[in-house]
Amino acid sequence: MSDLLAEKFGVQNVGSLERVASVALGSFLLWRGIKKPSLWSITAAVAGTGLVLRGATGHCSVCEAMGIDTSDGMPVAAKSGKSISPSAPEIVSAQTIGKSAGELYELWRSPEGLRQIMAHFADVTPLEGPTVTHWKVKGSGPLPVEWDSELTVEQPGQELGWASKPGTMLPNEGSVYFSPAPADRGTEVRVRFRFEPPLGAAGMAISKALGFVPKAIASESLRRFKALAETGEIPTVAGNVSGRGVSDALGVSHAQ
Amino acid sequence: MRALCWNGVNDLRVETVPDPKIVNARDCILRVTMSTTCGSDLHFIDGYLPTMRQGDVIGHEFMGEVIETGHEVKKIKIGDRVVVPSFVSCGDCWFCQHDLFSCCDNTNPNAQMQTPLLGYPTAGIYGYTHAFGGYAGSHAQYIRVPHADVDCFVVPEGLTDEQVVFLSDAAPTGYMGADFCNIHPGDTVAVWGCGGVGLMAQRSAYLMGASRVIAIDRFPERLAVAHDRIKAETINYAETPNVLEALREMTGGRGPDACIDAVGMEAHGTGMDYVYDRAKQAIRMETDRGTALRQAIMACRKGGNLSILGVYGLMDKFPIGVIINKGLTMRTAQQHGQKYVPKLLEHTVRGELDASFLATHRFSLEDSPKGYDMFKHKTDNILRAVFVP
Repeated sequence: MSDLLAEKFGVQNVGSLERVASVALGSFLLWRGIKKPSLWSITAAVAGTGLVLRGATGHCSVCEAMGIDTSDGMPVAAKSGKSISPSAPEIVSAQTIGKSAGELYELWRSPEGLRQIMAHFADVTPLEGPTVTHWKVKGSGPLPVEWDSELTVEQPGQELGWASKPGTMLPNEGSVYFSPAPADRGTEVRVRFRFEPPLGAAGMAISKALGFVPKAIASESLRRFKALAETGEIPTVAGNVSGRGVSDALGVSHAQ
Repeated sequence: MRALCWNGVNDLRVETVPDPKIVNARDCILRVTMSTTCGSDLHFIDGYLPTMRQGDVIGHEFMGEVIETGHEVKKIKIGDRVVVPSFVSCGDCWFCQHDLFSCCDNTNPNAQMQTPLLGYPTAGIYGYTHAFGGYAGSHAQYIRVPHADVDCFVVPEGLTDEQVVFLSDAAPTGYMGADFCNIHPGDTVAVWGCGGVGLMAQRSAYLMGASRVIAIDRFPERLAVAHDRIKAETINYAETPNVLEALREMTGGRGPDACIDAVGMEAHGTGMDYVYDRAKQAIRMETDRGTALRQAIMACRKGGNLSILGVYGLMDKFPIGVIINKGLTMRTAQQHGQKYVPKLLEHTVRGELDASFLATHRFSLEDSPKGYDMFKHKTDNILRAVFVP
């Protein structure tokens, strides 16, 4: 049986206590994601499904990817990050923004600009000026998803490119391109990024089944970028009042 | 503060909720002095519009006094008495710059909920579902208004709240509907619907130079208002066997030059996949209401203008062939209020427009559920209930 499991799900590399905890936490996240679907509860549900599989099979692809084996009860430090495979999905999104390419390039490149653009999704803090930033995905709770990102392309007014440094469970890379829009319409901004989803193909399948679309993260980032560039602020119902109290974020975080 | 909250289908309650605060630098906070019911609220009260949440503060047609401003607010001052269109608009995006304020790109925080259904998101609305932004509504003591300099219009001295409050929605929607008709002297404009928006569209058609306005409804008391207040000719479609024949006869066989559908459906069709059942309910309603729109399409003269204010979701059997063969021009939108409110204030100051007759029933905020109940059931010849917090 154990061999069969290993063949189907991979070699056991997670300890017993951790397996029980994984199933419990994973089931909770999955239940919450199905009961109250939102961008983040679904993200959590995907992670939850992964945890249930991890606990049930004793195999963790994330651990495997990171070179972690706790099946003997002893965590082993991650050896190195995995680079992005050619088959990793690519997400693209576009917006037309009523500002010049130069202004938009500078806004995206500025640590404060980037922090606000990505605040619905991750806490971005500068490590080495604008060149190296630390990203921590919001709402990832007990399983922090984080990485250091480095600018790889800097062509003022045209393109910014970045890639995660080795050692993350979510290797990713991307670019934003700026090109003139017709007449008085400003600048066409295109974002593309690729990431290596947790749990590989299974992670992608579960994500899709639950309606989690990474594209939403990209398009939401661009909408926030547009609002920030055009109006100096990002629309929000954070702090909104209702019979439920204060703060009304639905589906996405409206953090500034 | 106290606020009217939606707690489920036909479950409105006045509750104590936190006071709103300035969040963004262009925000202001209003002390609401008057707020009114809108027919479009009935759709989510009855459970036909998805993406409401228990506890949502409702209301989107209102005015008030500015009591606090964010540090980027330059024109609007504390103490200003202002009226605010229902759609939140930034004033800076391409759409706002082209007077398409309800299409604003930068004010719907829940844009991703709308995009799958509409292709592109619209502006946000106060108190009107989370797909339309989820902003807290105006049936409350206080309300947060983003982009205060763009969305607040200072009320001139000498006007009452009842004269001004409908300039938030009913009047600009009706006025826009008439504007879409490209009215020339001698024109006859037929308006389906004699609710707040329809009556405002009728008055606006006269203001824009229409020679005749024909109002079509089934409630005798509303037709009486159209006749007495607006000086419109009327057709009661419940009593008239053939409305098309009646319109042809009244216009010497030509048909109305422009037809406005103000039946007030405004079922925005925000049905999300996960609430498919509700979307189906909405479709059932639309099939009902499609009658008025199809009639307007049939009635309109060749080459005439068709203006649709009652927004539909997914409509079956839409007679596009009639529109093509008669060469009709069809225009429609949610209200671009920021374009029209200054003109409407001028008309009101000059005495050319007085919307105060719509405020047939006045309630305290505490009694607002009763106001909605009367409004929904059209008791006591109610046109609009206004709430004074």
